Amino acid sequence: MTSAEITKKVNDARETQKFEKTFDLVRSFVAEAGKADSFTIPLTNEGPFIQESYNIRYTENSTVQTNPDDPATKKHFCGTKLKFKSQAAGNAQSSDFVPVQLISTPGSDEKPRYGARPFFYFYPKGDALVIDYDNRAPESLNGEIYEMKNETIEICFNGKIYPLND
Amino acid sequence: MLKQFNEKFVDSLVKKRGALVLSPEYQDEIIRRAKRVRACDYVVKFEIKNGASFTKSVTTRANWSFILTNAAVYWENTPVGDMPKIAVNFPYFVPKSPFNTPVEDWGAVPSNLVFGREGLTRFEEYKNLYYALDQRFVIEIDAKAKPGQYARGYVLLSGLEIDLTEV
Repeated sequence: MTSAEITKKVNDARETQKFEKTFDLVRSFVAEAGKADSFTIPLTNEGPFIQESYNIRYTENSTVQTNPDDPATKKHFCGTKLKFKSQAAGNAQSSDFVPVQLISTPGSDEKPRYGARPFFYFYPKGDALVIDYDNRAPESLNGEIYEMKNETIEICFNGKIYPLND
Repeated sequence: MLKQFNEKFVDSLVKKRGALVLSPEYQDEIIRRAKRVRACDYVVKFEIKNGASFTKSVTTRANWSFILTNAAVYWENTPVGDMPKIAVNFPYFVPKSPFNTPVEDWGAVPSNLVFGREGLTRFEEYKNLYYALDQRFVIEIDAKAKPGQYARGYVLLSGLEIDLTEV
């Protein structure tokens, strides 16, 4: 390939980014112990954002003692549930709160996780992402004892921005 | 080396299906399509106390057709080895299960494939489903435990919602 051809390729790539470019929206927050809350993250004003996948990582500071008479059954867990919503669309992306274990990536039992969970969603220009969380103690089913602690939730939303020249 | 770089990185940025991606028309088409397809999760929480049965249903959204692509279950603080069987049913739909087993065979629907390997893990997932449903479709979750079993879990049914109203 000649120098002129390389220059043209690079210019083409630069030109392409005027219409489509990859974007990672990274946020972390603390789900406070015993609380259910909601907050809003503004998305880019460059143009629509098409989300393709997301990664979620979480701490396991809370504890549950499954047998109230046996302290040895105490173990760490994360009891946080999440619900995402596009402010423009109005409706949530799930029918109810989802435990982070079900949507963190990829699904696997009690092992380190790696990868992204595919989740395709269109956010129009100027939209905002609403994150609802619930970190309250679950109801005790069989005498188990819950101690909820603050949990740090880290999320990376992956996708593409389609810049609009208006 | 330079050729490989060009093929792997530059061309993939600039070209889509062999054509240059450099037009507002292309951008419009991407956005137009993206508005009509979106991912969606239907989640059902269930609690079983002392071996009771549990049935709960969820209805998919109106005006959006739903394609089920993934199912998963998570047991919250249920002792391993103490997890009940779960069935996913689609009333008024043939076949009633995405797993191609008779729903009448209680527990067999997901039990051999997804959710029913009693007590092996706290998280089980069934990927690569492709089960086209319709709008306002009812999905039933049945759970059944042995006497003395206590369990709490979440069934997650993920898929794509498609707006067919403008076709």
